[in-house]
Amino acid sequence: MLITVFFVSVITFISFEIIPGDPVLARLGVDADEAQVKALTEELHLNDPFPLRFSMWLKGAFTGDLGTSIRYSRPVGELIGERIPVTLSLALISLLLIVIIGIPLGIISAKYGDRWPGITISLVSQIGMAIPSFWSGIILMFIFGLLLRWVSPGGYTSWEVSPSEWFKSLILPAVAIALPSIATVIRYTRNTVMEQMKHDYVRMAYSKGLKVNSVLFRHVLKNALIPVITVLGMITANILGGSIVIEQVFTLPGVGRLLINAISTRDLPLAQGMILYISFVIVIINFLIDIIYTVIDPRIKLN
Amino acid sequence: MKKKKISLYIGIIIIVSLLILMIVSFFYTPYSVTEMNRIKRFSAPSSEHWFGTDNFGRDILSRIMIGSQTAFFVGLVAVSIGLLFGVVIGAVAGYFGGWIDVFIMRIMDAMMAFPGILFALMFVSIFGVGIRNTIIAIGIMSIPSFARITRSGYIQHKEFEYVKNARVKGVSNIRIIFSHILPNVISPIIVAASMGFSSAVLSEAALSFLGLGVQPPNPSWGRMLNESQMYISIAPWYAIVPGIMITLIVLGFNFLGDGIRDLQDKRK
Repeated sequence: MLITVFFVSVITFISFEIIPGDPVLARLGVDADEAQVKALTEELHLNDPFPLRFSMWLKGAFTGDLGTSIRYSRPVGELIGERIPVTLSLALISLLLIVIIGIPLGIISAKYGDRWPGITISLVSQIGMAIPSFWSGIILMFIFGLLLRWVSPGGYTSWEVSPSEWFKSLILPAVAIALPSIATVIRYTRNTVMEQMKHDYVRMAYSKGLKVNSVLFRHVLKNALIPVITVLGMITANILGGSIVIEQVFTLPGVGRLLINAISTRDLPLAQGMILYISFVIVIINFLIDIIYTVIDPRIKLN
Repeated sequence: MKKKKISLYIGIIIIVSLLILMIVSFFYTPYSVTEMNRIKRFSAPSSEHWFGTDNFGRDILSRIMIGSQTAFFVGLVAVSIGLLFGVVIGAVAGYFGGWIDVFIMRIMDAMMAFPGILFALMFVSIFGVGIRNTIIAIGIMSIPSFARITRSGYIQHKEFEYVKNARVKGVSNIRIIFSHILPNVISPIIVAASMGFSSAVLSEAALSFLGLGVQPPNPSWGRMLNESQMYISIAPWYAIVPGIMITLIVLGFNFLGDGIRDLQDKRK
């Protein structure tokens, strides 16, 4: 994991190093005199050798000091910290939806195999995978926010203010993010369960006189879970990516919206810091999933 | 047997229809895509304007047709970039193995750790917004998955007799990689390319939706969704049509990929 974290930081650092334009002149303007240019160059450590600057930046990243946003004139870490609760709640609700809807539907669809309920579920899930989440977000907002007025169309209420309003402000974006992933999980669960059904231990369980459901949920599910968890790992990355776009649709003040703002106003320290942090989170999630494997299946060892 | 081929047929039907739409759009659209008409703003779908008109009174069908050019263009170029680099990188890693393999795959893993959209955002924030940079970003971010699939094929095939024979005969590594092994491992790569096409189209739509991809006045389905969002309560058709088009093209290439894979599985 550490090696991957290192590579991710190198990629992020170098990418922002090669930006065309001089950061000193960008800040001071073209008319700046030589002394000023020299002073700021010193201050930003731009004359230091590359490895030294990289290690200082990385040290800053780990101690929470990622520099100051140009647009907000506030520390990058602080700005990100404020917005994390929104994105985190959104991600958790979507993940919950994916697990409680995706896995059972996948099992049901596998149970019916190639008979019509199975085929129908897999066809619908194929369509679900193709629908862009920002479009389903717009449509959901139109139907439930504007036509039926069940929830407010956009905006965010925090948990402290009102838990029910908090849930109402997040449920539609969470559904929009979850839909394609639910479809992916259904297809994956269906395939792995159907694969497992061919094994001898399944025939054994049936011959003991067990019912279909207890074979499925008590024997097959345990074995089918590992590949499904791999997919959930990838999906967590997708959820974070998806919330970047969906926060824009529902005007949620989360990390994604901040990132898009940073990019469109060319607030580069902010953008750089955010990209680094988001990718760290994803690397850590992937690592945690590796640990979960070893808990579920003791045969797998981490090296 | 027949059931397996359904996805292939559905995929082909969808993609061929969209291709026809695109080809026609080069010669004919019902209205001019940039022609504005104040009186006809937000006309609902009718026999005159099948999909209605937008906030400038422009015909949505015509803009959808021209938008298909963007979708296919982005998909084609991005997948080509991903294929070109991904196959070469994956082949080198898989064929030579050892530290070269470890080094290359570490970088590929790090690239995969970035969610695609995040990488694309980073790329356009550095090099600027617009269609060219969008395509390059989407192409680069598809490299790791092509590299992985290619690599696994090469790892398997480099141990086969025909490769060992060729090596004993003194055939150069480059020839073995490209003219001996590549034809044998190409089929999963083709499936990946089809899937890659749909994710490229989806990424372009997302970026254009965020206002960072295709810039106005060029029509793009994602861009149209972005513009339609403001007027959803007065002109819902404006948001519905581009979304259906994106879904259709993605669905088409996913079905095509699935279909080709089923076909290959059956041959084995």
